[in-house]
Amino acid sequence: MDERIRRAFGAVRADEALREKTLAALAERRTRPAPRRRPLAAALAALALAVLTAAGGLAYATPAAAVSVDADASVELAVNAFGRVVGVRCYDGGAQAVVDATPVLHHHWTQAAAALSDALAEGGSVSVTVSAGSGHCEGLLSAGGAAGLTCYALDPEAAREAREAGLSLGKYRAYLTLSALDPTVTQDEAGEMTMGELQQCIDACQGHGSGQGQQGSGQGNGQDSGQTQTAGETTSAGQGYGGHHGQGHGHGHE
Amino acid sequence: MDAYADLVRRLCLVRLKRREDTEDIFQTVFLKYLQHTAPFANAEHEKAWFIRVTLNSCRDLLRSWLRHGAVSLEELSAQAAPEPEDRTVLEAVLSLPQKYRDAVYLHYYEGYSAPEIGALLGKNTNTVYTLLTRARALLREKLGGEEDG
Repeated sequence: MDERIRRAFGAVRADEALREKTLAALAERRTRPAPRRRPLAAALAALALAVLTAAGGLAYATPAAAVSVDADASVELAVNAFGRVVGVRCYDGGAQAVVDATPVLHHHWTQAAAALSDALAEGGSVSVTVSAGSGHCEGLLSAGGAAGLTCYALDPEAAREAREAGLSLGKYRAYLTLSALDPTVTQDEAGEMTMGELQQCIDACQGHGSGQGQQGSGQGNGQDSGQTQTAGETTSAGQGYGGHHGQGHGHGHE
Repeated sequence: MDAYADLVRRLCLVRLKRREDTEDIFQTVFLKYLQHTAPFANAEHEKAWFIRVTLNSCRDLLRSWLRHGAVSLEELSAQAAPEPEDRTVLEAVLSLPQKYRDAVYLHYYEGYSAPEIGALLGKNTNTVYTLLTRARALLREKLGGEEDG
């Protein structure tokens, strides 16, 4: 059997056609310049692409400003440098239900704020507070929204204080306004009131005697960046309302 | 090329099923030989280099997702050997499982011992003995005749 196997394999030869084809292919490869490989350049290009992708992703995901939409419920939006909503914070269960029904993530913030103000308004007034420089409120109001929409700008320092206090930007701004009129009001009390109730207190304090207002203005000045632009109807004053104390509470609050 | 073309052709026959694949392996192996700059210690060293490079190139080609299609054993052996007796033996060898075919060729035709085959294929010597024993039994069943080796 060994001999039969040896003889069989011995009969297998590389034929002339195979040899000639191989020699021709080798000659062609030797005369053709080898493709220049640039592994380092390719690696650097890949690295640069990865860095740019990561940087772009990071820039997109990083909040650059906050926008709060306040009515009976409060919703705060984290907005990136491109004006897109990259985060949503609800301050009560009612707000969560509205956000669930109104997709705002990755939308432009003016569209998101307008949509949320529509959803939260329910016939009442809505305020939008932006923790960024001037010009943003104009952009929002030109984008449209609920009737009675009011837009405020809040400086970044006050926005940071609002976050520390656990209040939405709009409520903190209203708290600053109210505390300037009535220094006895606390952040907790302000947090438990709706925006409508807070506004009624402000209107009542402003309507009842200048003593409180003057007393409060000493502390409030410099904190409240103030109303930069209003649109639609402004909140009417709560005539006859007895200050901020004793307001109805009981709604959800984080 | 003249010195090792037949060796490469036979290894391709043991490993591959298509003429086009054999042509690819020829170009690959001899191009590597042209690019090989380190000197060989002797002719045996050079021959062992050809065997290893050819078997590795065949393995890489068989793994390639671009490769497809195959021809029958009968066609393969008819292409390789014109004599009917040789064709019968080749068909029997090529019908063995892959792990037996390399060892059969290297032992029966090239005359390598089990330890040498183990070194070439990266296998344990005892494993090579086992492969050769089982291959011999299978070939005896297929070809008949007495054992003479």
